[in-house]
Amino acid sequence: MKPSKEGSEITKFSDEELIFSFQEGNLNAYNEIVARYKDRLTNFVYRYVGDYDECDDIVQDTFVKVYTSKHLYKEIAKFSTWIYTIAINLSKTKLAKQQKYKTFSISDVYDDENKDFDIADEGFTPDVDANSKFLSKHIQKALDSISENYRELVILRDVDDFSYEEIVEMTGLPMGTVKSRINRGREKLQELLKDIYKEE
Amino acid sequence: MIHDDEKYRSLRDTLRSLPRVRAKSDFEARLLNRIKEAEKSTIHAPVKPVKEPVFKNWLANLFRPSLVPAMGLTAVLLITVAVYFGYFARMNDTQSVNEQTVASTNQGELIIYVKGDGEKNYSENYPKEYSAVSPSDNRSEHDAAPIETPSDYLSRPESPKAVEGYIKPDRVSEEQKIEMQRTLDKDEKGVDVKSEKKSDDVIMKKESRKTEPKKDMEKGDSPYNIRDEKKNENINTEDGIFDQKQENQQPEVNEKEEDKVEGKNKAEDSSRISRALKDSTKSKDTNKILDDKE
Repeated sequence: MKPSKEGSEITKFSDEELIFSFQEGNLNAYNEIVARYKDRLTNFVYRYVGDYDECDDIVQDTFVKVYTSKHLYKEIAKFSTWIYTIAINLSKTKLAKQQKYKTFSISDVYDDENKDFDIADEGFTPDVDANSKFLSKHIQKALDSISENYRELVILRDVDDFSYEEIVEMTGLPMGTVKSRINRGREKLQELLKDIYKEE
Repeated sequence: MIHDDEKYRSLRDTLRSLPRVRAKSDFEARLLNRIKEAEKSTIHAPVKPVKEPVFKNWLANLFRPSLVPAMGLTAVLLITVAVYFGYFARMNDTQSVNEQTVASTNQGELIIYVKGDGEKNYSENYPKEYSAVSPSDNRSEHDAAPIETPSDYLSRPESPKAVEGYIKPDRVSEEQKIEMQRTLDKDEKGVDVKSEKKSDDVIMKKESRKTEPKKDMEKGDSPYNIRDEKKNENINTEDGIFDQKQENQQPEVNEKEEDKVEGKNKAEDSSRISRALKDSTKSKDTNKILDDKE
């Protein structure tokens, strides 16, 4: 999947042009879409699901879905909105399955709060510094502890920096509901992250 | 909106400052494998278009949901037409026949003329005095005389006239015949034939009793006497008819007086019998009695 001569020109295309090109059979356009969105989607899904392996599966499934259902995209919405909607729906499905077959933590078996089992992940290096690692874990815990409905919207707005209109398009919720949920999610997060702000 | 964003600015900054999580290095290779697997599964399980038979397709087109109201309406219309021509039309025919067959006289007496097996036209059975045109009249309907209607509506209506000659004998019952005969007799002579008939019957009975032996009379308990007593109670004594009561009250009258009375009665009886023979209907009983007398 190395970029060819055509691929170098494709990098100048907008997302919508790329998907239309892919609908006409241009595989380089699809490669470009994957290159543009794989990290963005991984970051969003990881913050939403809270598990990297699950996140990787969901993102791969999202791109497979884009590949198989390319003809379903119409120029009524932005491509980013469409692909994020697919990712959100797959994430929700995954979370629902997780809740159905709820797994338990190894630390719960030993009933030792201080004893934590970190499973090594060689490919995943999000935290470079120890401080940033600690902060990231703490914030991720706080995000996981709030409701899914609030979490989804707070991540879309404050982490991925989508506009309210785009969030409304992605989720299909009314504007008022989106705003109120985002505010409630923020309130809860602020309460959970009190100690961080004290330090600051 | 902006105010809320400002309110939680520190939180937003914290969330934005989170380290960006990146995808694995072999992400694209694994994705390619997944896409190939997905393509294989779609290739190995091709969707075969199920061909429906032509007749079924035609039926499906005919009975498609959009045509259901029209089909229902058509069915209702067909049923309505069938019911109208099969039932109501026949009812109308029978009504017209009834109007023709049932005719009332101008005196309010209802006479029903029933169509016979051999008759073709109902009008043949109508009394001809009611028709404006006589059957012998060969003129056309335009030349026929107009129907005369009485101008004086307060006048007494005319008495019903019997139409003996024109009504077919098989259409009139025996009772009607007797009634008609009586009315004719009454009109011609002004005599109550009915009462005369009764008296004649009594006379005849008396004659018959005379022929019987006297022993029975003396006994007084014979079945004939009982019957005669009952019957003679109803007979009018003013007409000079034999009165059984009188006989019972005066059992001591001698035979001579009886003979005299009987002689007078005989003379009266003979005159009455002759008149009754002329006037009364020819019943078999009277004929027999007369034959016996003669």
